[in-house]
Amino acid sequence: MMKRRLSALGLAAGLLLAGGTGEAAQSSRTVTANTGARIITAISITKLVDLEFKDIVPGAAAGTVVMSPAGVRTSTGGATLGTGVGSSPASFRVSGQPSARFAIVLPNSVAVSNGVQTMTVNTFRRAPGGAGNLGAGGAQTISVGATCRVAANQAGGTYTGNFNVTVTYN
Amino acid sequence: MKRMSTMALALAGLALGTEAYAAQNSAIGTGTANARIITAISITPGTALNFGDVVPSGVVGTVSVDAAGVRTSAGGASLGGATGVAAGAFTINGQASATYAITLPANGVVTVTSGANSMAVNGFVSNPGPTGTLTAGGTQPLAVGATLSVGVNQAAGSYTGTYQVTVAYN
Repeated sequence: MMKRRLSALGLAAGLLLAGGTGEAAQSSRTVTANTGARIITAISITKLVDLEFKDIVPGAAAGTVVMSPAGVRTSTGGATLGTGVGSSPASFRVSGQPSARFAIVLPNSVAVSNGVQTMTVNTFRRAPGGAGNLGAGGAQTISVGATCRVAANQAGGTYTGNFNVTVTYN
Repeated sequence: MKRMSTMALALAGLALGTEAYAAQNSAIGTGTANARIITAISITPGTALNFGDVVPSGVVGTVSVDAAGVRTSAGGASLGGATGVAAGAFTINGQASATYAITLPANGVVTVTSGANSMAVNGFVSNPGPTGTLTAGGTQPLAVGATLSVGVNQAAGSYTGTYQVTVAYN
């Protein structure tokens, strides 16, 4: 329907032009402008490895256990390290358009729970730092560490909780 | 400011052009953070490491008690009465099934004394060692042996001393 109406208009314009022969060049102007769009691959992020603090021994005073993005575990305050076998920073694989840059947003704070008690996990850190870059291969792996806050005489048990990492093209 | 408005325009264009795909400009990955709070490790001394009666001579010698409590002598030292001879005994308590490292005294650290006289105790060994594994009940006995250095015509007397054993989750 639209098309038909347009061609009718075109005809009318043509008729007008035919009527005023001498001014034909001035009543229609064509200019060429650039337009463009690039369809790119959607960005995606997949978890490869969970953040594993492994064993922590609580003390009479509060303390922390830090897992660095490089996988180094340290403790402060009343908390001390138990067995670290299997401990690891989290790792995520980001995929998308080759060479695209992207922003990474880590959580401020999440809770881990043993079903009854909780601990706070915060001060998330990542490697590499700076803006993400998908590189020629269209993928980048990000390591994420954080700090586990252990209360004085924190109750025993296995604590678990989820956290989100958001990546956005920029 | 000018740059910003240009960007805003470009963004607006993108939004119009790819309205349906806006959500794929960013992606969220979910990881899990895990930690285990465990029972602190402890070590409690039981039976003392006892070399029993030792007879010196004009030549230096040694008396050893192994982790099983078996006593032997070498050089100028010979064995006297065996009453009380024992390996040192300790009880380790902590997290069920956890492994731990055992640190015994280095050579040159421990001496036993009787008034102004002393003898060195070196060559500490343990069973288990150098690592142990707590049972499902969270406990394990630890036995410690060592070697006593007996001097030439070592002065008679009852010699006593202390030594330290350190256990740590590994």
